[in-house]
This record gives sequence, structure tokens and C-alpha cells, in this order.
Amino acid sequence: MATEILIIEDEEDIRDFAARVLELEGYRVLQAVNGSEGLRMLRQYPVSLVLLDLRLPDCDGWALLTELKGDPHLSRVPVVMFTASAAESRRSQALAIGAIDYLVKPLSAARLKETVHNVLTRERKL
Amino acid sequence: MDEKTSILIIDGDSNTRDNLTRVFRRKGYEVEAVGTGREAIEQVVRRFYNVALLNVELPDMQGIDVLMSMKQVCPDMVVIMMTAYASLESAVSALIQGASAYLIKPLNIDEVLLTVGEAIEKQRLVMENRRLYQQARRELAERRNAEERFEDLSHRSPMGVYIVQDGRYLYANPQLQSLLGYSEEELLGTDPLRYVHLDDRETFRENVARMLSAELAQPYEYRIVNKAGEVGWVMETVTTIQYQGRPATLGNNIDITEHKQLETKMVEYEELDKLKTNLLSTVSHELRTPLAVIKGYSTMLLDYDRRLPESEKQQHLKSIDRATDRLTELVDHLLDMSRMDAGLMKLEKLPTNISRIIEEAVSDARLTAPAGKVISHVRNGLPVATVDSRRIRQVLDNLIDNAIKYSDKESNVVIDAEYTDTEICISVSDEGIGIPSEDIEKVFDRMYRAEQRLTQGSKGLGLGLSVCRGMVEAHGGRIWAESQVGVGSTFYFTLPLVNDGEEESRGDGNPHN
Repeated sequence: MATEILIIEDEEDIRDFAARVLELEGYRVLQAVNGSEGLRMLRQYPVSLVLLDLRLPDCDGWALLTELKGDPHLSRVPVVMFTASAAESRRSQALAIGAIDYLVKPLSAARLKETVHNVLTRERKL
Repeated sequence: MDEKTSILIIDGDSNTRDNLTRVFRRKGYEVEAVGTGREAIEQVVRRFYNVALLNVELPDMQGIDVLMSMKQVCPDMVVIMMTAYASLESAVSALIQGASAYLIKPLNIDEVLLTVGEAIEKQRLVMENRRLYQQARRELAERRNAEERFEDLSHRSPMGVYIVQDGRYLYANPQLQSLLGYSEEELLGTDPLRYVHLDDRETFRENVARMLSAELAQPYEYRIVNKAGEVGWVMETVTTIQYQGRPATLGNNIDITEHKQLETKMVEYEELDKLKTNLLSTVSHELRTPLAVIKGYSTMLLDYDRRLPESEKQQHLKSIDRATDRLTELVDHLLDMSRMDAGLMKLEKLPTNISRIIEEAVSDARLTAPAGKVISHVRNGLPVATVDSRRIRQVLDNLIDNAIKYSDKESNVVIDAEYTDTEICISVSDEGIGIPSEDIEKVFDRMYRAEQRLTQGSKGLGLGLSVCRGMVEAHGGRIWAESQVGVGSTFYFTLPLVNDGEEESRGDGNPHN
């Protein structure tokens, strides 16, 4: 069974890009356009990795990340932040809350592919 | 008079002296008796006697001379002359010289006591009266001194000083006069409230009352309006005083207008600073988003070229194309914005067919909008206006774009125009989500959008309407919005119909607005 990845991102073009690249890499991709939809999908489907945008229409990506990491059923799911903010402080904040990696837009298809691949490989080894 | 009443008896006859001494001592008087004029004067110099009983004839001097000497030393002393019939005349002249009464010998004791008693009572009244008079004079002088001191101090004070009684200025020092811009004559007798800014009168009244009742300890601030109609700020304290025997209010204030202006500027700078930080992070975010689309799809096309069907590649190229448009628009807005800020917005104004510009904007909008959504009620033949057609087109595109973006696909966007002799008014209406009334003024502020939560997944910097306002105002027009949440919004802008010649002669045709 293919590995499932959830993308929570409100920008349609960016969501489609990420989803298509990951599909081409053989993953099954779920897409959510906002935080509440993302949370609902997470509770419904077993997901191996979440790509989470920091700036969402209905909620702050920070709040969602904090909620995920505080939920005993979901805290083990690795979260890769996916953001247009390059500030280093944001990066350390995200890692401190429990994100496993931090991707800054714009990024290439290869970078997205490698990051997801590396995270999942590390997770399997654990 | 609490002290014992003292009597000096002056008579050459020792029997008279002894008899009188005995009588008065028995009545509780303090008595001294002497036989000569010289001794009498010595006594009066030494101490105060209330009454002297002075015989007209003395062994060494004339009684009248003794009287005059004694009166000189002690004007308050009551002198009663004693005389035999033979010297009535000299007794009368003694009265002229200041004696209070005379007694005729042989003496009737009752008459003596009565005369002395009356004289003493009269003396008491005179002295009491004089004491009161002197006290009043002293108090008056003190008050005058105090008033002079107060006036002197308040004249030299750097603060405004005033006294108000019965709601009227009784005193206003020169500083207050110059602060309010009125002369002393103009101020005195008027109500201080008259010079308080209309919006501050209520709180001013409250603060004065609270401070007078000691409920408020800190100075209060309020706005004043001076004679020239200029608004200034003062900081003030008041206290209750007695003025001319009745309660009054003494006020001290200081001009804090400059301080307030600085304070306002500080707040503005802080807000500007915050805005700048917000702008920077939003600009960064907004630039990165289309860049991410371009970078993502272009690398995807490169990396997966052979695995992607042609039709999908077309889709991705279109996404890249849209993203570059978005980037271009963003950069244009930022450039326009900074040009406007720097006063470098140059308009290339030419007589322009407004109907045609609107028509072009509408047909371009229809290319991407759902079929039948964009409706124009604009007739041909709107007056020709002298405008920068590229800029006005930009305003129209922006307003129509917003109207489409913030409404359902099925609802309509309606463009209309009206005109008068002096201006054309163009409107763009939608049936979209609307704007809350508290925000309606703010939509033209730069970054209004960015300050909000990015609701509805809508994109953009929020610079569009701000740029529109800049453009319209540079043309001498106005832009505004009317809206009802859930019903829709209408944006209006006007373009003045003034030909170039008139505009120049009016002297406000500055293209660098």
C-alpha cells in the first residue's frame, strides 16, 4: 500500500504542484485547503507525513502544529512546515514546537521530493 | 477692658485728693493722686491712665497747660476738669483744648462718679472703634499686598493663571490671554467653557468638579480653541480659594500643544514602523507565492518531462504564466506606491474618450470572468475628459477585478457611469460579501487587507485600492465605497471635467500629486 501524505495549503497552484510531484513519486496524496479540513482528514485517515502551510485562511499554522503535537493520536505524525517565510527564527520556532523539517517557498520539485523521502526514511528506521 | 481702670487725681488740696482717692478705690479703680502739674506730667509719661481729674488751679502751673501737655503725651486719656465758679471760663477753654467734661466744686460725689463712668465708657467705645478701624485698615493693606503679590507672581508665571467665580473669568494673567488670543477686557466676565473645544467640554466640566472635590489629584488635559480658531492643548490644575469673601476657582494651566503634536507624531511613526514591518513580511510572502509556483512547475516540467502528458504540461505552463502576471502586477503596484509616496507619479493627460476606456476594460474582464457575469450600463457618448488613460484603465481593471474576486460566480458585476457639467462618476457594483461599515473608510488604506486575516483565501497585498485612490486623487477626482455586508459593494470614482487651460489658470493642475 502506498504511503499517504497530507498537504494542507490554501494556494491552489502550490498545492497542485506539491501533490503532483509527490504522486509522480508514488505517494498517495490527500489535499486540504484549510486547517479545519486538514485536521478532519488527519483524524480520519492514517497519514505518514503532513506538509503544513504556515499561513492559512482559517487558522494560524502555528496553532495547528501545536494542536497536532499535543494530540496523543497525532503527535507521532511527522510534520514538514511549508512556508513563504524564510526567517530563521520561524524555522527554529517550528522545530521547537515539533516540526521535523522546514521548507521555504519557492522550492524545486527535487527539493520537495528529497525532503519527503528523507523524512520518511528516517521515520522508518526509528 | 479687663484691666483695672486707672485714675490720676491732680489737685493742690490734699483733702480733695484724699477724699477722691478713697471714693474711687472703694469703687475698684486704681488711683494715683498728685499735688502739682509737674508730678502729673511725669506720671502720664511713665504710664497710661484712663482718666485724669485735673484741677484748673495748681500750685505750680495752670491746669490748662498741664492738660495740653498730658494730651500730647496721651491723646486717649480722658481729662475731666475740676473748677470753682470763679474759674468757669478757664474750664470752658479747657474743653476746647480736649478736656472731656468739667466738674464744679464743691464736688458732688455721685456726679463725679457718673461723669467719670460716662467718660470711661465713651473712651472705651472710641478706643474699641479705633482698634477695629485700624484692624480693618491693616487687613485691607494686607489683602492689597497679597493681591499685589499674587498679581506680580502670576504676571511673571510661565503658566496661565486665572480666577473664576460664578462661572465667569475674574482674573486672567497675560500668559492665559496670549494662550487664548484674547485681551484681558475680552476675557473678563466670560465663561471659561467658551474657550474649551466642543468635544472636550463635558470631560472638562467633570475634571474640574472632580479636582475641586479632591477626587482627582493628577492634572487634566483638554483642547482649547483660541481667537484665531486654532486648536491647542493645555494641562491644568484647579483649586478652591476665597476671593473677595466668596469661594472661587483658581486655575493654573500650561500650553502642551507642542508636546501633544510630538506625541501624535511618535504614535504615527510607531504605526508607520509597524506598517512597514507588516508590509515587508507581507510583500515577502506575496512575492514568494507566485515565485514558488514558477519555480515549482518549471522544475517539475524539467524533471518529469517525459512522464507528463502534453495537456498537463499546458496546464502547468498556464499556472506559470498566471504567476508571472501576478508578480508583474505586484511589482507594478509597489512601484506605483513608492512613486506616489515620493511624489513622482507622472500623469500623461490627454483628452480621452471615457466611454471607450470603460468598454475596453469590460470586454477584457469578460475574457476571464464567467460568461454573462460582467454587465455594463455605460452608454456611448460620455464627455471627453483629460486623463492619463493608462492610469484610469488601471483603476477600472482593479475595481472590476475586485468585484469579480469577492463575489459568487453566478452573481453580476455591474459597471455604470453618470455625469454632470463638472464631473463623470463611474461605479462598479457587485453582489459579493460586502465590507463591514467600520472598515469602509479603511479599504483604501494601504495594507488594510494585509492587516486582516487573509479570509476567503483571497490573494494580494491590499495595495490595489490604495493605488486606485492615489491615481484618482492625482487626477483631482474622489473615490469611495458603499457597502452592505452580505448584499454587495459599490465603488465610485469621479473624474473632473475641466479642460487644461482652465486647470492651469486655477493653478492647481499639479501633475505630481
